[in-house]
Amino acid sequence: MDPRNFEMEDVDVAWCPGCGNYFIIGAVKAALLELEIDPRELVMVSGIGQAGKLPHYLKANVFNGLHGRSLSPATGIKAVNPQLTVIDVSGDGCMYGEGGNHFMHTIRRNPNITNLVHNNMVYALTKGQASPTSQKDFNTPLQVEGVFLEPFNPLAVAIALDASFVARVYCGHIQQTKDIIKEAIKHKGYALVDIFQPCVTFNKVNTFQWFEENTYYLEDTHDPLDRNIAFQRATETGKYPLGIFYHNPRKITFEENQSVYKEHKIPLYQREIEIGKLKDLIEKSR
Amino acid sequence: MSSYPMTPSTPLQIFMANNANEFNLIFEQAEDEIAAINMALGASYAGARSMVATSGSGFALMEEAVGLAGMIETPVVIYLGQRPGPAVGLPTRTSQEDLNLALYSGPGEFPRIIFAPGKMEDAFALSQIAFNLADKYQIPVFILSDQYFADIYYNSPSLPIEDVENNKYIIKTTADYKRYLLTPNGISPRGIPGFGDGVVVVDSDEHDEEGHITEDLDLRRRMVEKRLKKLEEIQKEAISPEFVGGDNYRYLILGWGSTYWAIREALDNLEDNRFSFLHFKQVYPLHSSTKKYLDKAEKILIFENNANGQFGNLIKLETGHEIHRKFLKYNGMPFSVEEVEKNLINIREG
Repeated sequence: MDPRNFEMEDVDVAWCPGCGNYFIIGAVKAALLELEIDPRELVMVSGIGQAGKLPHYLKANVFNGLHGRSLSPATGIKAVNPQLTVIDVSGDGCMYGEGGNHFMHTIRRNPNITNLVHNNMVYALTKGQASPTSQKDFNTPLQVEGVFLEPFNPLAVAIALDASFVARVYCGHIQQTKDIIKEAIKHKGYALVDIFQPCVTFNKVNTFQWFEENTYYLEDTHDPLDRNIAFQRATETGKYPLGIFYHNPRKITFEENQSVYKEHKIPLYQREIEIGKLKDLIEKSR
Repeated sequence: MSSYPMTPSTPLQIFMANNANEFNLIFEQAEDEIAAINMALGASYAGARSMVATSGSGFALMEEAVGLAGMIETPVVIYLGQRPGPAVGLPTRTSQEDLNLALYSGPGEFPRIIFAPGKMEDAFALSQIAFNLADKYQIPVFILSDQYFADIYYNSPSLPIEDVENNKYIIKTTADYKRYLLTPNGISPRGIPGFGDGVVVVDSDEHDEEGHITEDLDLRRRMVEKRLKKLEEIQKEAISPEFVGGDNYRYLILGWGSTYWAIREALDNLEDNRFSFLHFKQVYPLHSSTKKYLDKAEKILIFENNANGQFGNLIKLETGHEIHRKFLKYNGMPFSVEEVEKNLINIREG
């Protein structure tokens, strides 16, 4: 396979020099290449924010929709054509703020999609306001006395809802980030990968150095099949664990639950209406 | 179909859910109306015909994504069952209050079509036309119903099932495919992901022909014109209003949507050739014949289930014709035949 498969020509990238997003897109491309995913069979879905621009910078089908809503079209796309690989790329504002309701209910639905969430603990596109994951006492032009809200804990929420795959990575560790993104894509069902990512312009607290010093990897002995332990690790205070927190391989996906796929997996666009059946239905109702 | 239950659109949702298995459909009850329409747009993007059903306040939540449908030029059919508002209003009563809501919904400027069936046969025909036109022009198409229309039953002749045409407007993409190719009529051939050698890029931001985000202001202007250009073709295909009565009328009665039978029966009872009736099952854009009918009338009357005469105002905006008398009912009940008849007799007797 052509290693430049996902490369775009003449892209005008809007990210700042040194942005953590460059590490993330590198890891995503590497994961896709290693999994030998065909760009024509891949749909990248996103909302609004610096993360939401990522799909424009690699070669794939793209649905760059509304702020916070990306999981809904992602679910719809996968539901009508399960043969596609669907990856949702969002930021902490999109996913945990504006789209919080969709985040919860998509986990309940369990479509076979991957949900990558760039978590830089700040609103970068709108220039530096608090995000749902901003840490307490974080000062911004809007949170002038510092953030006093409890930070949103996406992993704990996901595990509480029995999300079928829950992981956290730090994008500065590109190898581990790529490996876990690969596992998430391979996973059958909804997979959350919360990606710690420094914003070099609007977050002067949670820097590359800060993430290096305040993260560590879950031990090899961690059992991702144990939901109680996973929840405990997701809620522990102090340094932030990285790795695969939780994995439930037994869950049925949203698509598998659809009666239209009981007999075969043909995408809906390839199916025809049956006029005879329609006629019978109308006659039956008369 | 993805939707969130809301009276009076729920019966349609139940019907679709119950027939999903037999007819290769997916019905999903979304967590809210926002998710419902965004899911539908995702499904449509991937090639499945998609619709949502809702009512006033639920539709208000969908408005943002109506703009998305306009921007990414992705078809969706929106069934809007009207009930009295604002807000929760009278949930189990009827109204025609959300024409303006549908007509002006969504930020920015983009084309749309609004149907308002008055007869069951119309509803059947218009529903399939709605899907075909949504696909052809890659736009949102509305079917405006209301509580009264959604819940009535009556005997009807066999539906014109042999007229059902399911036109597919999807192409197999080539490697150099551009989702928003600039064309003379504004319509770009619609590809879907996974079908062909190209990739299909859609973006809620202003975009270039490939679908990628752009700040090129000249391209922005051309993309606005491209989207609006489609309205010209749409207008040519508008469905003409149904004219009932003789040609030598003095009074022309206007109606739209569910008031059809009440006005029709009153007119039949009156047996007065000074009155004719023009019923609109497509309320936007208007058919080009509209003005011709209005020009001939000495007085134009309208019956509507709202307090502002929304369709009358639209008629004036589009044709310049004043409505001489508006009969507006907004207590939550439909017009009765007797009521229409009495109003017409009063008009006749000055």
